[in-house]
Amino acid sequence: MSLKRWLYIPVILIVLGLLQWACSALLLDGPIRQGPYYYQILILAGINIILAVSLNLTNGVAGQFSIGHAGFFAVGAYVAACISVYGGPGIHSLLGFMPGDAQGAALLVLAMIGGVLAAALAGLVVGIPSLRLRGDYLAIVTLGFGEIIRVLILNIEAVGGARGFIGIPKLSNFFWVFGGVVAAILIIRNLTRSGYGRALLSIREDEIAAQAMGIPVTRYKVMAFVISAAFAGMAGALFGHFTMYLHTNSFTFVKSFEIIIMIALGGLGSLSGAVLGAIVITVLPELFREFSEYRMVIYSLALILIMIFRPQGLLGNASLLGRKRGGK
Amino acid sequence: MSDHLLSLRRVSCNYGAVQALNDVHLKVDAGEIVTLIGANGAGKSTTLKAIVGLLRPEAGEILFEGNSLLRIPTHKIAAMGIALVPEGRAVFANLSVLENLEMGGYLRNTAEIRQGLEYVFALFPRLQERIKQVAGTLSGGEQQMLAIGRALMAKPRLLLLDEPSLGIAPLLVKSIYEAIDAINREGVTILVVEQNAHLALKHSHRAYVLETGRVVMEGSSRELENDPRVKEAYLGEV
Repeated sequence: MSLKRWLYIPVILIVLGLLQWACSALLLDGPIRQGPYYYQILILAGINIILAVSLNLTNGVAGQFSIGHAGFFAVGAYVAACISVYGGPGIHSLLGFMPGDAQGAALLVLAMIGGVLAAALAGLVVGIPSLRLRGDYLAIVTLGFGEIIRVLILNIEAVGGARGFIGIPKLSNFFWVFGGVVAAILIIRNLTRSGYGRALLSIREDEIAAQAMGIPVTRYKVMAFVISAAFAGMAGALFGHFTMYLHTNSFTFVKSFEIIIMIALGGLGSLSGAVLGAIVITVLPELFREFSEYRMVIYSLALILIMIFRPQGLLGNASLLGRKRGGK
Repeated sequence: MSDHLLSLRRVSCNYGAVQALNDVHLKVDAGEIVTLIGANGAGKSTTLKAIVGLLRPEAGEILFEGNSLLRIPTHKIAAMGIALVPEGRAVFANLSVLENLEMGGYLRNTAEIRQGLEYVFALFPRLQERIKQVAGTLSGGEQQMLAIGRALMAKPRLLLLDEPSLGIAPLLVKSIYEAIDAINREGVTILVVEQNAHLALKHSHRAYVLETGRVVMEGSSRELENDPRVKEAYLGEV
């Protein structure tokens, strides 16, 4: 690790800060008529990128098929929202000496840490028993987990139950969401390129051979799954603090499948493919909005056509951010 | 304690209700090439799976250098010095030849990996020619060379080979068995499972004949090659 590499961090922060300023000047308070609408799409695209990039680590790189990513997204969203709603007043009075914006930022960071840790813990609990086995067990368990979490939340009165969770402070913005995007992409990219990432690839390719070479297969699969869940939790924390309202309808298995479609669309195993897939899936339904009731028909048609003509995903094996990486 | 490198004592294994191995005795001494021959379903591959811990015996004992392998997970058995070349080669199809070999040296440091690559490329020059090629696009024989090379990268003391001649052009089968002999001359002990009995007996010191999960014959490969029962059942001679 050279000092030079760490210099990227302040540069990235400054760029994000400038973009945040540009967003508020142009989109939120600016001359563009539908600015806030575009801003919202931008933020949702960012959150979807984090979800897709993180799921790609489990499904694309390690080859373990998880279909409950929305469950970890929900855990992160609700735990983070609880921290800022119930812990908010206490934290604000504790940080009374700071300016208001800094207090908000500190609260968001705390909420995000809580959301990330809770989702990672959930990932550990789900992952350890189901990843010991080969085959479809993970898919079944994660599908069940996603639904259990959703129904559980639906019945917890403290987080609004079926009414939804209201009163979440609006703390996340472009800066935080895209800070999260950059962090997710960089961390997962570096992991994938490390020896650990290659061990994950070999597990995907042939689990028995990987094991016979001395790779602790179960531990590695669980690690990948936990990291993936943690980032989904971060996406959840950012989501709740942007929409200011959470409802379990945002976390059904349909959401899990949407994330799978994003990574399949981009090219399973390809990091830049996951980013592209997330953007396409966020933007596509919006583009067809003027066709009103035919919107979802056209959207589905577009997906089917892409799958027929690019079954390997839009980017296939190629990666814009690194060298060619094997995708299935 | 035995002084054999590997010994199986009264090992029995089941797949559900089906008994795959029944009271199997087997020993491999350091420096040998031992072969297991037998028909499909005789339990040859099962024996290898039991040794590396992919399948746990119901009864019996498996010792490697005097230590029991029964409760040790597969990846730690690999670290003890046993490398497996799985049936059907099982190369990492989407990774390059070099990446496959590097993964084989997963437990080794950079210097050892460099040495290992030199050794493997000297043994199989074809792999060096195809170093950047994706493993899935190699021919069957080349994939088998890669699978063997990958196993050698771990610097094993015992190399287990599961049907190295399966689905490979006859010309390449010959060169693979010559490589196996060469690996053995370097001091690596080899246990090879093979359907092609003729070939296996020619390239081994001792052999076991498995029939429906039992060892029915054992002895030096020369003896077995000339045994009338083996000739009739496995070598296709009357």
